[in-house]
Amino acid sequence: MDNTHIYEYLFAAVIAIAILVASSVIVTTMPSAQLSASDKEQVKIAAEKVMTQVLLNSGQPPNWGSDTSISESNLQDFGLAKYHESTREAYVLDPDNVQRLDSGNPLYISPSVVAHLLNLDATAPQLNLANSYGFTLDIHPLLKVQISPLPSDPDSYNVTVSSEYQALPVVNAQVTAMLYYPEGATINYQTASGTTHFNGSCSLTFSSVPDPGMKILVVSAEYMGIHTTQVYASQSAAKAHLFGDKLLVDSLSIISTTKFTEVIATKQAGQYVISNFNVQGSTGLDAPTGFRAYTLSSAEPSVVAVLFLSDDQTLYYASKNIDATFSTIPNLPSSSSLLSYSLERTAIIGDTTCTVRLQLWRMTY
Amino acid sequence: MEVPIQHIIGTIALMGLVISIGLSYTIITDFLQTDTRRQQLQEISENVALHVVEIVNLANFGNSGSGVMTCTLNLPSDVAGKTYIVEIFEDGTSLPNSWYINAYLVTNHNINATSLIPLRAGQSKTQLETTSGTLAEITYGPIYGGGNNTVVWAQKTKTEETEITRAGLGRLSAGG
Repeated sequence: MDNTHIYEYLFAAVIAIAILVASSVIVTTMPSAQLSASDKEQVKIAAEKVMTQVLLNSGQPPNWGSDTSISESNLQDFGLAKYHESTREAYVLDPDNVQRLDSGNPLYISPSVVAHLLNLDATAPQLNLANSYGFTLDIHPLLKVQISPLPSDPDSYNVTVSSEYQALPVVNAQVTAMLYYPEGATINYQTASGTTHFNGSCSLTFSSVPDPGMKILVVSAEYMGIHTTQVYASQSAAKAHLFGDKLLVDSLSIISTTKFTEVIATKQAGQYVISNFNVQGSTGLDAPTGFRAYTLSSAEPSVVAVLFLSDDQTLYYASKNIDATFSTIPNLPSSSSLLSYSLERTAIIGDTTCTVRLQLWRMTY
Repeated sequence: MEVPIQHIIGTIALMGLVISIGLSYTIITDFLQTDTRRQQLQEISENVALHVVEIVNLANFGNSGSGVMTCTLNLPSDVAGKTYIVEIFEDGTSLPNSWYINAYLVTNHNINATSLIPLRAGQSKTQLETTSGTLAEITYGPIYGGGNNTVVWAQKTKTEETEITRAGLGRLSAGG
């Protein structure tokens, strides 16, 4: 046999191997698009699952947000929904639960604990369970209210109402405000109202007060049935924390008063009105370290703020912050290459209409 | 005779090569098919987990003693021609206090997918049924994919001290 036969066999072998390589490449490439789409679909379903659990479940114990003895070490189940013994409404959240997501809150629940309670950090390769997830939960009022005193007149305030989406100015929003300030041993108040102009702003003017540095301004803004309240405190006013009917005050503050002022915003004759009333308070138990707890004789579910004076006449205020960004990876850029999915719901928190946005991403592949 | 022997050796070598190429191709496609089946099972288990979460929360909105809620599952009849099973599982070792949905092929349990349910076992007032049994018109327990009348169900009941929501997978009996 001459050498040409060997070349024929070699050529045939090369062709056969080339066919294997080519077909393997084609076969491995074809399903990758389908698998990628499937991966995205799975993250989408997982996001819906988590959103449902967070917004429709009230957690365990059901009143965990207002119970100051519940911290991240003994919270058993996580959920933000408002709990009622009898009737419940979907997408109505408990402001006490929501304010626990604020990192400035003394009873803050960390994202890692929430991820654990929602089983998002679980991986078990032996069960083919390799997907752990990270998340960002954004909760913002639909109407964003910004309050700033006018530099030329400290008794006047500029109130700007804009939409949460793209910060577009809201024109013709009804703004009602109540200014609280100490006068002697009591808390006095003035009221003002206005309508926002083309730029979403309006000015509110009050009479001068005894101590310009000690003022609390409570603003209610309404536009087409969407409502939000905002509390603005001047520099000398001190902050306390409100959980259900309990007030947590810095233990260094000396407070002998039993008179506390509750501020509420209620709808009367089709319009939101800010009003206030006094309740009794007494020193309670279950205070976290560094705080003293005061128990109010009654706490309105829709309370916007609680005001009181300390022995040295400092004006204290406690309000619930429901504007929160809560994330397992803080400051994650939206253009991140993580395989993620975002979804959005509208919820009611107290008397404020809010947008709840969840972004869920896979930590592992 | 030199020439025919070389031809025989060359032909046998070529045939061996073709056979090994065929085997390699089968192994590669089988591996890819397993991956695709696992992805499909993953989608199924995620969907079932979502339905479980939804019905548990829906049941929690109602009053106790208001009956059994069901939601029909529209699952694919098979995964690439293979029958599969979906079940709720609670694992006390690898994932303490976790419930998850497990979907696997009947013919090969190693081709499986798991999806977690964001509820803490033993701590919330929810009990997911991981065993088999009957409740009203439902036979609950693991379900075969593609079967008729497969449902997720939930029932809120009240004992003397606490309210508890039971939920699980099952099949409605005929006419149910």
